[in-house]
Amino acid sequence: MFVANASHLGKLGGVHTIKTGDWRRDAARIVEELFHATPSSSWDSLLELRQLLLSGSDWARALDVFLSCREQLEADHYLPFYRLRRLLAASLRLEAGLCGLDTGSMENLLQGRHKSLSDLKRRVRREWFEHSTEVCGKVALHVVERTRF
Amino acid sequence: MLATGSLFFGTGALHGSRNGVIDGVMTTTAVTKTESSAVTKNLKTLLADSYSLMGQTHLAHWNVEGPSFFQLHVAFQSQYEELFTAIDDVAERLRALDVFSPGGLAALAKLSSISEMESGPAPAKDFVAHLIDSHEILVANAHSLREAAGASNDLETQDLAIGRIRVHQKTLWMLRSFLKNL
Repeated sequence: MFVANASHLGKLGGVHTIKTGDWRRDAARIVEELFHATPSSSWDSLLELRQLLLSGSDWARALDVFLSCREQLEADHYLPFYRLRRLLAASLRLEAGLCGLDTGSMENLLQGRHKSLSDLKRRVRREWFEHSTEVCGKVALHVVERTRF
Repeated sequence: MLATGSLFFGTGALHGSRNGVIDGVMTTTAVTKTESSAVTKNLKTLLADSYSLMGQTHLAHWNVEGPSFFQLHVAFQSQYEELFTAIDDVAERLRALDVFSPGGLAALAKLSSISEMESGPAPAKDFVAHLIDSHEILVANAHSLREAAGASNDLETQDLAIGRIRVHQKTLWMLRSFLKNL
């Protein structure tokens, strides 16, 4: 039924101008709009992405599915994936190690052409820890939601 | 006469006027403060959004790179030049309604909800996508102006809003067309 609801969002105002104040709901709405414009072979992934965004239970998996969907669909649907990228970059961060070191701009990371979260993590480890043979590959990286104060 | 003068020139409770014809004579009656304040508030938002959008378009004109550079660089210039003229019209409409116009980067930034793109390298399509988002915000707010002006029978301001909506819808069509993967 969310597909039928998404259709009323309309082309004039655009999804971007209809914000709920909850970034996860806004992101889920963007995903919903993709259903009527994408092949059915992509719907399982989009459904999973939508569910992960709304539940907020596994951000690593959410980011991984987003990157995978983007790899498949962005060429034909640049605007929705740009908006999703902006929302995710503003709302999530990649932390390293036990102390939760912020590994920097998620915006820059997501601008890169990463096909999966593993790919993205490899880049971060290379940039941050390549000079330390002791820690390279051993530092855990976690995707967490940014806390808003 | 003094009372009539204050109707036209005062900046107190009366901000605008409604024209009517009685027995062939043009008369003016004051609009309510609530009605005119909604119009002026929305006009200020349109001014701020237009100014902000002009700045973002100018930024895109400067910083866009890639195979589409020349066409986008020229297109963005055409868009910000159009906005420059339009901003003047909006501000002068406020003055015609006897309201002082806000101005300056800081003041207008506070009135606009259009976000700013960071300075730095970005895919050309990101510039286009950002401008689409910005135009959509402006159009949504301009619709509020159109409604407020209609409700207060300020047809001139409504006409201005409609004209701006038309221009931005056309720009949106062109920007969206660029993003299509054909």
